[in-house]
Amino acid sequence: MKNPAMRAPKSAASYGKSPLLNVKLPPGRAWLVKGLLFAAFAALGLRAFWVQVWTTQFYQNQGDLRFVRTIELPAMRGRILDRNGNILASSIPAKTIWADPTQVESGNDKVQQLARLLGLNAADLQRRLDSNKQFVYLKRQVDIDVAKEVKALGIKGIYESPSYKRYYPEGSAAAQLIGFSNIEGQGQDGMELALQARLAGHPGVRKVVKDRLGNVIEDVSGGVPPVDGQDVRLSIDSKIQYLTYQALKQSVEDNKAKNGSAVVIDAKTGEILAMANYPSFDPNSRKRMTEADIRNYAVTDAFEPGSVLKPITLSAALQAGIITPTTVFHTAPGCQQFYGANICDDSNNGNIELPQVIQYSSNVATSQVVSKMPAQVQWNMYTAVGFGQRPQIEFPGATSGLMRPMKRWRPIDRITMGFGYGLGISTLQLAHAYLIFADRGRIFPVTLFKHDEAPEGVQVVSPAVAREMRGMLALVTQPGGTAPAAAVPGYSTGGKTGTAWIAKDGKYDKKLFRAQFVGLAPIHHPVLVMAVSVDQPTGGKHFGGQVSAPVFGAVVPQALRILGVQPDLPVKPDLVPAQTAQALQLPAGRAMKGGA
Amino acid sequence: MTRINFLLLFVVVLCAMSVVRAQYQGRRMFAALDVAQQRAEQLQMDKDRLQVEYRAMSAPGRIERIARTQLDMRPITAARTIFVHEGQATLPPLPVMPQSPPKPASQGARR
Repeated sequence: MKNPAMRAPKSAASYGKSPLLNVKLPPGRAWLVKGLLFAAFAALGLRAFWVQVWTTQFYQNQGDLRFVRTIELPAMRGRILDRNGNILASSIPAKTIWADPTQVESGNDKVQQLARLLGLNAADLQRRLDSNKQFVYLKRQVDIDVAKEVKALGIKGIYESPSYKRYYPEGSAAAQLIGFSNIEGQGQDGMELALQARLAGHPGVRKVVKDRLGNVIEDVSGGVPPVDGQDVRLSIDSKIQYLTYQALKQSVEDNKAKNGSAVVIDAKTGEILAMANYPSFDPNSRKRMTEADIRNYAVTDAFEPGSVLKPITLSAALQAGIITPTTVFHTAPGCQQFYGANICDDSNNGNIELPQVIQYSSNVATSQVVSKMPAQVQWNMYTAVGFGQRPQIEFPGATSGLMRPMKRWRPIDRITMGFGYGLGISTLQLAHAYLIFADRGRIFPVTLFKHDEAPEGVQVVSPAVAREMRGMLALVTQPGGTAPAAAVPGYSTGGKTGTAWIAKDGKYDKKLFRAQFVGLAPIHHPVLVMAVSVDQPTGGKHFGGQVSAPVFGAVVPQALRILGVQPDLPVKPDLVPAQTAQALQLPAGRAMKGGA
Repeated sequence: MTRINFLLLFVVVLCAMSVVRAQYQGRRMFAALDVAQQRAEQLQMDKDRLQVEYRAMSAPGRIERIARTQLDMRPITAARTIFVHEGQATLPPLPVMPQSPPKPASQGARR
């Protein structure tokens, strides 16, 4: 019997002649191949599932990384405006000029030109361009026009990118009040710092797909729109601010004083219309700025006020019924002992009534009033007008002043506090306190923001007392008072001078003074309250009436005109047409001088 | 049957091409929109900058300096101001001017 396996090739001869094809393979092998092929396909399927379904996010992110570009969208810092919408601080577009030193190849003359344009030292610039870094700042916050010129130089490897620069149109006039922000757009001082959160805004990002030319062709989700900072409107009037600054500067320079500060407050609302300090700095170029220049003395520095405090003390006594406007005080011979201290006036005023106490600024009579007054009455008045409390304004570093608690007052402390020694207040607090004489005896919180409607106010003295005090304060600026320099043509004024010694090494240096004046105008229906304080005048004059009252006298008539207040005193008209008519008969050149 | 298939194939190809075209158009228009938006931003920034420049030109300090030095002007006083009230029917009479002033002098005074 023949082997069947041997026979098979014969029957399969029709499939081909190759003997290999005729080899009978074990069936398991075919299954193995089929199984491997199936497994390979299954692996592919699984891989596809893994890529397309399971880890799709990862691959999409990787794809985005290669196509999607993220564009930073900077937020515009809000503007600071005055009460009439004039810009006090605003951001303007600028350019940052930077270089990739590895790409820079340029001749010496181009570098010289670049250095000149950017205001840099040429050798220093060359050294920076020779470094082997890939990024160096050349100059930040470059003006757009300068940046255009830099671009026109066409130096390879010099780039620009957009940025902002803060600009302050008022310059040094409101420098301490507005403050300034740094190169990164962070408020550093003044309102720029106090209002940082409102002014700053939030930068955003935008995600886009760009084509090979760099054009944006598609927005991709995931971007965040930028939120610009808010504009802030202050209560400041930029014209009054400027007038105040100029007048204060003049006084500080003329009297060779250390510094000075002035505050103008709207008498009906408590809004601060102007707050000026000198010395000052230009916030637009702060290279030569010193610590002393930045200080907003009007708010941050407390000083012993001296005689300007007398009307506050006396109005407390008037309100409490301890004295009346016709009470007579015996001040002869000009000095009197109180609790072991000798209190003196500048001269022997004899027997005087209350109005003269204010007009001549009598320490002796004021001390007599305080010695009759309960401590509680004095304390209540000082706290009601805000002494020893931080003013409710959003200003960094506003001082609360210095006032000891009542239970630590010695009798002599009460006497000296009555005429302004032994407690400390700021120029702002001083102006604020005088609001009680302005509007029917009420006081309002001071504010740096514009009110939409007049605040309620708190009654401190009765309207009658406020009126009587105004009548007395009016005497001060009249001939015979201590501040005739605060009288202005057309408007009635009133106020009080103060010339305080400055304490040094535990005692008063009787050669160092602080000259003060605080006044109201028009005195019978006050529209504004102004306080001026000049520290250490050394130019020969040192009285408040000589140093500070002229600042009041220079600012008030202009400020009242700006506010549209009609003169309440008769004035002799001095109108231009009358002069023009006269001038017309003169040669044209001279008519200029004689005319407006 | 075959004819319908060819027709459908043609329709599919047509649709596919119009999708490509629409996408291309869309991207182009988006790019144009983006350019326009950037321009709007640029103009807004220019406006802000010009407002600030305008303000810098009209700052009280600059006005006063020019008024005093170049124009020989002096500050207003109450004595040289006529106050006009809101709602006042007639203006106060103006001071009488001299009749027909000689021309060169009036121009000189105005400058």
